Amino acid sequence: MENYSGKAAASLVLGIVSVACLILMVYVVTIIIGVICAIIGLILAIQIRKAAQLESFKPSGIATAGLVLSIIGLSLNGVIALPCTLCVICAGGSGALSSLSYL
Amino acid sequence: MYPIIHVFNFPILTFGVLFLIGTGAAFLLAVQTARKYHITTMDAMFFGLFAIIGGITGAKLLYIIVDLPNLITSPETALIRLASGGAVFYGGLIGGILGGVIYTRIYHLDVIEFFDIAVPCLALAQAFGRIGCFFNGCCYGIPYEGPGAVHYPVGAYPPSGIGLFPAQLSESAFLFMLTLVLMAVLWKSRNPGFTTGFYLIASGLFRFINEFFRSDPRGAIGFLSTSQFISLMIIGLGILLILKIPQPLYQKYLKN
Repeated sequence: MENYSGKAAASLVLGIVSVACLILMVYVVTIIIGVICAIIGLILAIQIRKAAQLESFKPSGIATAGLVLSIIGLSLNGVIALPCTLCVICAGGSGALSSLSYL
Repeated sequence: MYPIIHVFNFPILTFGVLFLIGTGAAFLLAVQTARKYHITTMDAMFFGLFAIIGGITGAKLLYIIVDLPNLITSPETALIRLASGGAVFYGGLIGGILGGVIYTRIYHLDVIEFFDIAVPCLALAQAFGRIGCFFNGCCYGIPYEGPGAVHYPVGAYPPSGIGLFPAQLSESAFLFMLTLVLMAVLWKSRNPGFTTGFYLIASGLFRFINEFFRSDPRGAIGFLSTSQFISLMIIGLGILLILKIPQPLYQKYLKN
């Protein structure tokens, strides 16, 4: 479990950063930072949870908090970053991008 | 109709709200479908999360690739577009599938069983997403003045002043029904891959037919729309799964 305390802390920090990016949103580009931090934080938190299941130990509260915050950060940042991904193919876009989006 | 709703003067995308509701409903449904193959709730949830991570990453990566010239010449505007909606659907689809496959490979799980439990959830999430498309105004239907015709207001993306066929809502209704049918098929099926094949055939067939009732601008390959062309390939893949052709190949060469 000591091997995972660093990952747990990293997951928590990244989760906090992704939620903060959503709240601050000074520039729209912070959404990209929020999504990236949330993805990395979520992968770390999932690694810890699966290791806890396979090695039979209880994950720390920090790891759980990192998982929750990363999920919140990813879902809310993702909703802003992908307003209508399913509809990119049908909304048409503009110019060359509309044809490229049909890939 | 109402692409943006205001909560305490804060604008929120209606599609985003429905996307979140659909994702949440899909995860709740996954708790039930996972019982079929005795998959733990945690594995089902994490498979879904990896698929979502893969979907977002794939959509954005493919957008970056296709928009690379603009990113180099005017990085500020390209970054803003990337952050606020630049994405490619098929990048998301392929990324989502790869994300799920990566999770099953890392933890030595059977990917076909996971796809079987995921397809009813995917149909449910798509159903909510299509309601979001209706509010957003995209994927609109052909001119139509019969029962259920939809009239969009001036300023919306679809043409106003004429009735349109409710293509988004018809697909949403179909997907809600398909979710129930897939739950029944999953519970009765004896072969991993059958439910996935059923989903691919049913959704592919409906999408092929529904495309004739849509009139929004979209790509074409010959006399078929892009989605119709891809639907034919999806139906073909579904038939292969129903006939149990990929499953033994997976068991023999890819599972371990």
